[in-house]
Amino acid sequence: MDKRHGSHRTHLSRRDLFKVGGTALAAAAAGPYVLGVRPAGAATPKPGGEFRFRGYTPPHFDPHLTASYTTMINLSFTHSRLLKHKAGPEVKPGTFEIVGDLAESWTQPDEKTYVFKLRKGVRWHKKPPVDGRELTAEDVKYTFDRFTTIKGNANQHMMATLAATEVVDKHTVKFTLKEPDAFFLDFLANPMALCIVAREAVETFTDLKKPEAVIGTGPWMLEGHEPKVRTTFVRNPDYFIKGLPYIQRIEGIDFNDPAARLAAFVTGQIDAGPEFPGMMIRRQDWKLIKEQRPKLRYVEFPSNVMTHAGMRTDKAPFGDIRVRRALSMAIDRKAVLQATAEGVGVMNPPIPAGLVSLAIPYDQLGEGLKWDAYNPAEAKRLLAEAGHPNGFSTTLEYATYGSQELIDAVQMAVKFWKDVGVDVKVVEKPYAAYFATAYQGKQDAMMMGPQFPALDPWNFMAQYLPDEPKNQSHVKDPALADMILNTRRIIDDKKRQAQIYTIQKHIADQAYYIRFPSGVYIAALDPALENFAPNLGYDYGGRMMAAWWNK
Amino acid sequence: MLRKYFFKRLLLAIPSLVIASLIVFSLVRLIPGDVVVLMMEENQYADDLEAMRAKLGLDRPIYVQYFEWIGRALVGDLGESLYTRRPVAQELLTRVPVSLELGAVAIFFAILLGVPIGIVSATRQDTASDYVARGGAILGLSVPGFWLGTLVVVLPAIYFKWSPSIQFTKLTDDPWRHVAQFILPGLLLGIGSAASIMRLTRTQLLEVLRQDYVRTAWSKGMSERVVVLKHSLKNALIPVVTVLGIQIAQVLSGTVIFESIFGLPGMGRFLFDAITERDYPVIQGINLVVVTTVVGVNLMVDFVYAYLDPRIRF
Repeated sequence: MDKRHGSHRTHLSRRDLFKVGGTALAAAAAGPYVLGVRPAGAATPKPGGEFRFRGYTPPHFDPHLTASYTTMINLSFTHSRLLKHKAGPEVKPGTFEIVGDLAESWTQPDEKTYVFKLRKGVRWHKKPPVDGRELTAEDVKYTFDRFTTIKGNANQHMMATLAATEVVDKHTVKFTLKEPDAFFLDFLANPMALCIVAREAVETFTDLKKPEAVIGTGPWMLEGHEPKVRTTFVRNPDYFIKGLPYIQRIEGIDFNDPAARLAAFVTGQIDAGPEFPGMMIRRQDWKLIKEQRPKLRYVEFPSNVMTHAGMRTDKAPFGDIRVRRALSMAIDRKAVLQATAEGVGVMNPPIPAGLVSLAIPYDQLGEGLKWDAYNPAEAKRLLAEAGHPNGFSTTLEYATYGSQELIDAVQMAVKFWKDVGVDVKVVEKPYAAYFATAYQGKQDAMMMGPQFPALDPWNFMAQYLPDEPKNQSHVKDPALADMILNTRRIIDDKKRQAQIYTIQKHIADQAYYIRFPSGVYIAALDPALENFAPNLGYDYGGRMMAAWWNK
Repeated sequence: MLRKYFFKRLLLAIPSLVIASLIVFSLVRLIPGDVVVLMMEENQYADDLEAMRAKLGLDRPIYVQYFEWIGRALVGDLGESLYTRRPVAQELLTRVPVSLELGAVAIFFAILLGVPIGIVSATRQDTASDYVARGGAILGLSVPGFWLGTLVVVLPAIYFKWSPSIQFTKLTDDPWRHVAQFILPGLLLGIGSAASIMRLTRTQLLEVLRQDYVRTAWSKGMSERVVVLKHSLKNALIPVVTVLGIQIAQVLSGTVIFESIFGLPGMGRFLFDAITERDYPVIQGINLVVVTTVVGVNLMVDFVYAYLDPRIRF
């Protein structure tokens, strides 16, 4: 089995965490290890029981026609991918070791070819029209052909380098790439979108949007779906890993009031923290919850949601590196963290610190670190040197995302910029307008907002490529673009990681974006839930598969 | 004569409905930003932007869009939910009963609390019970529903480790649990209306109690019960019925908050979610149903007037 994401991706000492996040991380970093993840109990797993969590109603169930996490969370229970991220108590949050799911093994005969051997005897759910037939390489080919050709697939970029999918035999499938792509396996394992679907389901139902079309090979089968009420899953008795899953029934209860969610969790009506992005609680509720349910298990880990401020580097004054550095140095990030996350969080390199095995340790950012340090005097000096001794006026576009923390961060940033003479007029847009404009770099001057919480480095680096819609700072840096594109071709893990570190240093030094710190999530779990650990990402089903109730 | 009155009120309701439908239709089109772009990017509601515009009928002149929409609505076709992919009318068929149940429970509590307390307050004017009732009414009017709802959900969870069930139970699954889940939100939703009804009942009853015919009733030696409940209350209730019509509209809008807090899959929560998900056919459909209900309820109020006071013929 290819374990190219093996040890260096999963090894994470507390010292590493200190390095990643700096001082602010210290308190948070202690979390997983002081409070948290228990090894699987020595007791024999007990099958049965029900797991209740805060579920989400998806727009529909077709993974190839939406980028919505709500669809992917539900399908993580019912569908399988070729590869998946390893789950379990021994996996440290923020790390993503790739292991086989439907793939029993895989090889890479050359830089542009991957051959996957599928598990034998994998059966589709016993639901019409597929009715439990065996999954074959044809199904994999059908899925990838559909994924890459269907009109309206927002995630199609994931397979941008895929040239052809071929069936070698009933249980072998070959992928040929247009060019070497070191992130190919990351995308195959991504819980967003790349689950294997059945041709008959698509043909019978026209697409996979309806609940009846939710037919996969995953550990649970969709039992019922009442929009905005609940989605239920029942154990798949024919799941290809014998004996799994242990939990008989999963119930995702969809309720959207934060107070009701808190009350439901405190009174034990759900088994895991109810807050997004998965089994979390809000930090401000922690004390109360600990008092009410003292035996709960908590796991803390840094978020991979990073807010940043982008600037039109193709326009004055942001084309001047001194201005960008000055704006960055004007921000007191510790104060922002204190105000928005009770001081518990991490400083972010260009890849969010939450992705602990991909982000460069913060203290190794080199020159770039200087521009993150709060230094209003130096910021003023740089502005004067750039021809703005009295500062300048500009605009910043953002949407609140319904987040008080984001509103606070924007207001604090504006205040800090004002302190160095830069008068920033905030243009608050409805989310619709923001998403269609500033989120895609169509702002007049500056923008600010959270970034898509990807699990792979490519998503974060691609936003520096000139033609990418999410290149909100309009970066046109040929050397950087070369370095980024080159990472795809570096197959050696260590060399690629070194390149990713170099890229992050370069980006930080150029101050293309002003990065803000991220908070630290707190996952809260019923103590009787064994063999389960939370992580970033939407693979709820994958992480739940081997869990069991010890009660 | 009575038939002419009914017919006249019915005719007057038609322009109200037309104007309301125009407002409902226009409002969603006045939202800033290219909503179609957003709907596509977030939810992939169609293959591409053109298909999306065609799906929403935005590729045609606005007056054509309106007449098509209202024409379909008249035969019960409110379009298809972009989010759930089911006909809006079908969705509403499952959700309207939930909201109506909640609204009915709220109105039940509003009348149950408002009218008797109003009567007591009027008949015991300027006594301690009157002051307590009036103070309570002011409190009921001033406390926002969302705050009260939040407190009622969170505080028992903290102090008694109990909170209302977040699991919606269908009538067919468990009738008692089904009814029980409406009691608390219905009571909270009804408090504001109860306060209004109580104050109005008190004022109107005080006025009626000072009428000559009531004094005559007293002088004939009738009991307080007969004087108040038989001879005075019916006349005092006419303005209360008017307010009740308005309260029903308020109760329907209040369901948005309480259905969200108590996890009830009614029309209010459906509307809230539709706004979040930019599901415009649903937003339009629900608003149309709500305004039609409000106009219908007020029409019924007019009819009730005629019953309560046969002299009314305006």
